[in-house]
Amino acid sequence: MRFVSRGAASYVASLTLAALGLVGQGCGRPYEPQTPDGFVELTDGARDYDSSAHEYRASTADGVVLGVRAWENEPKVDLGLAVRALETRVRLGEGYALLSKKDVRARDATKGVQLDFGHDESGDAHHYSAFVFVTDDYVYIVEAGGKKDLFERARPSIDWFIKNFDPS
Amino acid sequence: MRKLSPREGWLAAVLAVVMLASACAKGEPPQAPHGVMRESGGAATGMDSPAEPAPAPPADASKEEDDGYSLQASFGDNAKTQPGGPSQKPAPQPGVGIDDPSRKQPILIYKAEFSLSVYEVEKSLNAVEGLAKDAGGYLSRRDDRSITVRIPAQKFQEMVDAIAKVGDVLHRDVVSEDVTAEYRDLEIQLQNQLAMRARFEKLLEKAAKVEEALQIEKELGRITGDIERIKGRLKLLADQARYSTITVKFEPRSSAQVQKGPFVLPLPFLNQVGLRRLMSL
Repeated sequence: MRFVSRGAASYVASLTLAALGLVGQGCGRPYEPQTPDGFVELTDGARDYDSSAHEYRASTADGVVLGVRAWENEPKVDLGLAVRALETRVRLGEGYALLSKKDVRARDATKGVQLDFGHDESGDAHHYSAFVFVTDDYVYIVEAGGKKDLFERARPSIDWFIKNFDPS
Repeated sequence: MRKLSPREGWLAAVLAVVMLASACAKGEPPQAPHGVMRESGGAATGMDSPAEPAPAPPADASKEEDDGYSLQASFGDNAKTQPGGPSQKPAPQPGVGIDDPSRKQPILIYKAEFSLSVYEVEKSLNAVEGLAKDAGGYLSRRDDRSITVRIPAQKFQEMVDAIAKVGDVLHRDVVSEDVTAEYRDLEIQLQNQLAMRARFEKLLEKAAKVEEALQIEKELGRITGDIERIKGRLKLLADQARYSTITVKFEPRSSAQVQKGPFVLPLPFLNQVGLRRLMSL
């Protein structure tokens, strides 16, 4: 005795597979990125794409890039240590100029720190912002970077992204 | 001589102790001669925070560089002041020692080296060059990522403070080298060589034989060479004392300098941050 027709079964199977595909692509990340205005999400075809860190990247038409990565918080670090380590690495190790540092909050009120740097790339002044959030499970690094004047133009979108960033 | 009573004996002992204590009391002992003083470090925070104050020229270098010229004077001065009181000598002023006819000021050569972050490098190079010219100095060397300027020694401190505001200081190294002893030695050597040359010239006038004259000429040649060498060295030291040297480089610190400890932090993201990676699309 057949309860479901073959056609219905294959239809349900297709829907299930499609849903699983969606899960694999976006919903598997330990955060929910909201691509801001003026940016387009880049797929995992981008160079150096790090799937182990659940990477997300988006770019404007003129090359301002937004990126998010999340690593398991193991061994456990707190926000202060993660920020200090990153600041030392970028500033002293890479020669970036630290322009400012301030506290920020994600959409779910997770505390974070925003570090703004300046650095010359091929003779042009660039801006680079790193936002650090730490939860019990993950360390999140959100990065944004681009040429100085283009970055300033994209800053409202970047600020919006952080306000709507949900590390949960 | 009569025998002292116990009371007189006690009084004599107390008096002896008091006299001994006052004889032993003196000012701070003279410091050993000190050739080079160095202060180095990096700013703790970025450009928005005030830069850490640059070191002043050694406040008591007049004590520290005790080179024998003023040793007796120090003891003499200290004997007249309160026991344990500080020396009354003023701090040496940069660039003054070389032109001090009394020869009491030390001759100090100041050098500073900065590592600044690699940001708006061209603008910062121009700023440093501008600061040097405003201070009465000049450009010594410049390339894409570094600049060396010479500035009047009196403006050294001011210049160090100003450069700290030009960019994010990753590292600073300030050195003050006391060359007083060497300079004085060279002056004495020069006097001696000049006197010797004068004597040989007189001998040459009296030389009767050609062989004698040739020998004297040979010695004169050697002495003249020594004189020129000493004059050259004196001129170099005087120039370095009058004009301090400041080098500014725009470069990150090496990983060996950043990771001073034997450990590496187990944070996977540390090696994967920055513009290069982010913008490699």
